[in-house]
Amino acid sequence: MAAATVTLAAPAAGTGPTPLGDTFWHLVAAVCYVGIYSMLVWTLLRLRRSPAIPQLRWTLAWMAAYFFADGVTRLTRIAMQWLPVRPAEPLLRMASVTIGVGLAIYLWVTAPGLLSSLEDFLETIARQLEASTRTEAAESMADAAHAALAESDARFRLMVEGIKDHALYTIDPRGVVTSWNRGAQRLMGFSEQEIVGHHFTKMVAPELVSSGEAESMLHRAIEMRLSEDEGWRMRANGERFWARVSKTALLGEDDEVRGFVVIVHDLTLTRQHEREAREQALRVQAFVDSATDGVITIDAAGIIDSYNPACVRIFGYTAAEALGQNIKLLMPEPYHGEHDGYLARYAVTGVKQIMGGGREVSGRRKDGSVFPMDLSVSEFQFEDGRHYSGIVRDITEQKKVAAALEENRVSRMQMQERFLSHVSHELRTPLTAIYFFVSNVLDGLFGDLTPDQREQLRLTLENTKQLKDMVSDLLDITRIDTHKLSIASQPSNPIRLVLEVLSTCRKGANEAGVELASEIDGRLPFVWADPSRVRQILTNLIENAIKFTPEGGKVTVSNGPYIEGDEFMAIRVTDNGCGISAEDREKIFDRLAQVKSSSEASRRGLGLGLFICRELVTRHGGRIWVESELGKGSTFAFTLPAFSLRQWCDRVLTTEGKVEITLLALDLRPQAEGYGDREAMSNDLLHESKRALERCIHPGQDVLLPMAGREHEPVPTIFVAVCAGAQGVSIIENRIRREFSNTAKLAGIRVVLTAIPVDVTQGASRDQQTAEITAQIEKQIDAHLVRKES
Amino acid sequence: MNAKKILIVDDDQHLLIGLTARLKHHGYSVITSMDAVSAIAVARRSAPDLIILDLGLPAGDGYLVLDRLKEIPELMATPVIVLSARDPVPNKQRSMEAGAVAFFQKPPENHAFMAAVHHALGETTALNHFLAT
Repeated sequence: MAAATVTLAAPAAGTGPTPLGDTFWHLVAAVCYVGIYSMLVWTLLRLRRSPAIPQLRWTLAWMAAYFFADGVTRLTRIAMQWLPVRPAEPLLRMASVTIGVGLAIYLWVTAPGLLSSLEDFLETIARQLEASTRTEAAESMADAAHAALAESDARFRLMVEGIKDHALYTIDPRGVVTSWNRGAQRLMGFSEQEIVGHHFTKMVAPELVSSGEAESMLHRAIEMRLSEDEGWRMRANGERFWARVSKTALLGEDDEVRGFVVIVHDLTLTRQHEREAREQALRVQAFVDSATDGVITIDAAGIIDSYNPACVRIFGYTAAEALGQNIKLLMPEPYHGEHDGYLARYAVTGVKQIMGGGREVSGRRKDGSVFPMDLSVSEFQFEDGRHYSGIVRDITEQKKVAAALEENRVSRMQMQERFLSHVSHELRTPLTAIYFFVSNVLDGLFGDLTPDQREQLRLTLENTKQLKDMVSDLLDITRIDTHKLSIASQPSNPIRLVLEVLSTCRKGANEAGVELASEIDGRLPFVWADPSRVRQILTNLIENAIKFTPEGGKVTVSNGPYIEGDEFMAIRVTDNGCGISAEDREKIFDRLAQVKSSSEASRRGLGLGLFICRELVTRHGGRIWVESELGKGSTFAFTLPAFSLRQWCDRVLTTEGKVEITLLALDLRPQAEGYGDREAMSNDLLHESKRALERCIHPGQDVLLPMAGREHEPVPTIFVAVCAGAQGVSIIENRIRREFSNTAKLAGIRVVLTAIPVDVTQGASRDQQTAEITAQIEKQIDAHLVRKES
Repeated sequence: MNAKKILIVDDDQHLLIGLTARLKHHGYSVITSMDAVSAIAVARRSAPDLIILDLGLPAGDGYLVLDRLKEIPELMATPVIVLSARDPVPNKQRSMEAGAVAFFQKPPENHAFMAAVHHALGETTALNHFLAT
């Protein structure tokens, strides 16, 4: 009961009113009462409105009423001082007391309920407080999570938006678009607002939708959780394009499909590229197919993997027959057997080697015929390894034309040669006559001559000799041009040749007052050369030397040291004449070269001599050159190949197949004793027999072996190394017998022929085989000669 | 006379004159013929010790003569030296096979030629001649 009012200085009622001091305090009290009680009432009424505790409403109402009444009462009491409200005062007092009592009773009655509801109320408040605290905490956590999510979302968005070239969007399981990215907008033309919330079929070509294909795609995606297909899609503007669409399912916690991430690629460009690539491929294919040249490709193992129609024409095999076969099918032997090896070797070493070396090879057609082919090969890498491609052209026709042209040229040359031959032939007749007449007189057949007469005639003779040389040279030149310049190489003794030529030239040297000397090593090997041609070369060089050496000079023939290994030997003709200037040295071997010289030496022939010499030396495989110093002299040197069995073996062992060598020993015996002059006959017979043998053997394949140092034996033996097996040897044997009986000179000769086979290890290296053959032949020759002597 | 008889067969008059002079100078007696047919007839009649034969002859050629000579018993052994303007390369071998003992290309070097003549007539035995090869 709030009866605790402050009665300040309020004296008990009934005391007489005090003057101003009391009024003041009374006013103050009144204000206080008004203030406090109105506040109370107002607060309570306010509280009433709060819905927290319904039961309290009545309580509060009562309380408010009480305080109101009480307040009014007190105010009245105070106001009693000034206002005539005395009579109201006990009424008011009564009212407030009543209300107060009523309130008390009410309170007393409702107190427990009130208390419990107050408790509840407090509890609720407490709980609410708790909850709100928790919520606040959760909320702040959620806020943080949200923030994080928002951030990752933002990033994701950024990423998705960043994908401008692909459409990346999501749909729900029904197919409704739930998110959209910038790429999608670019690709499809729909803005986010336009498409989100719509079915994805809005973007699918209508016929796919109406046929139900679109729906089934979705169902498939739901089933498989993944789908990828290609089809027509439509942009917002109705434009359709070919797309590849992939749908990836987004799964919830329960493994249910919650939606899909859809990625759409515009394949238009890709398709375009593909189409272009296909077109390009077709174009290339068309080109290859229509090419007139054959185009073949093979893999690293040599298997044909492409074969164009031109190949069918060239080789005869159809594509079906050729593809899958090894390329060597199209090659004749020996390439056929070697090609695999070539491929393997190239793969390992990287060393290229078209078989046969150049571009011209031989091909083999289906019918077995072999034809000349131009081949160019290149290689390229594919993912499955190295491939080779070859472009082939059948050049049979080309070769025919070339051959015809060559024939034409050759026949023209031949005509020219025939003409010149005829001319030179005819020129010889008057030359001979002049020569005879002049030499007859000069040699004193018609009486002695005065020195002047002798001189005149001598000079005439010199000129005829010159003419004779020119005529010979002329013929040789044409022969060089028509490749008719023949050299018949055989094992020849260079020492003998030099001595012979020196003999021939001695007379001319004596007349010129030039000394002729030889410095030849007696142990020179045999050379593989044509003796008459070697004599021609030597004669030419020595005569030149004599011409260009003044009286009292000296011309020496010597042999040089071996050069270029043991394969060649050199002969030098040195003079101490006028020498040759540097510039002349360059041209001296040229056709029609004439050395300008003040002396008589300038009038010299056609200028073909050294040219022909060079030609002859070159044909033998040697070299010719000059070393000279103006005023000091010159040395002309040339090389000839030394004869060796090795060389012959090199030549003979180049062919494929079985190698069979036989040594033939031909012992020549006279039919009867005492036939003619033994010694002279031997020499003669030897030469004759050799000539006969040359007619029986294959030049280049068989070889007459030199017989150093045994030329004057009473029973000469000629050795021939023959490249042939037993069968071939018997053929040669018969030929030899026939030839010997047919040749007049050899009619009185009996030939004892012994065939000695030479063992050759088949399949061994060339070097090994050569060594074997050489060793055996030498051994056999020695053995045979020893046998004969005993 | 005991002089050896040489028959020269050549259609070139001048050669006959020139060569005859030289041969006579060496002490040989010389008869001549200017074609293939008369050559055989003359040879038969005169039995020369040596025949010097040109290849280019009218009414046949030197080879014909060589073959004919081989058929006639009394002339079979007569040595023949071929003296021709033709190229030695095929002709030398052919002549030798046909029975000639030597081949010389015109104009022949006198010394060598005469040596061959002497040798064919057996005038010298071991002689450094330049026959063959």
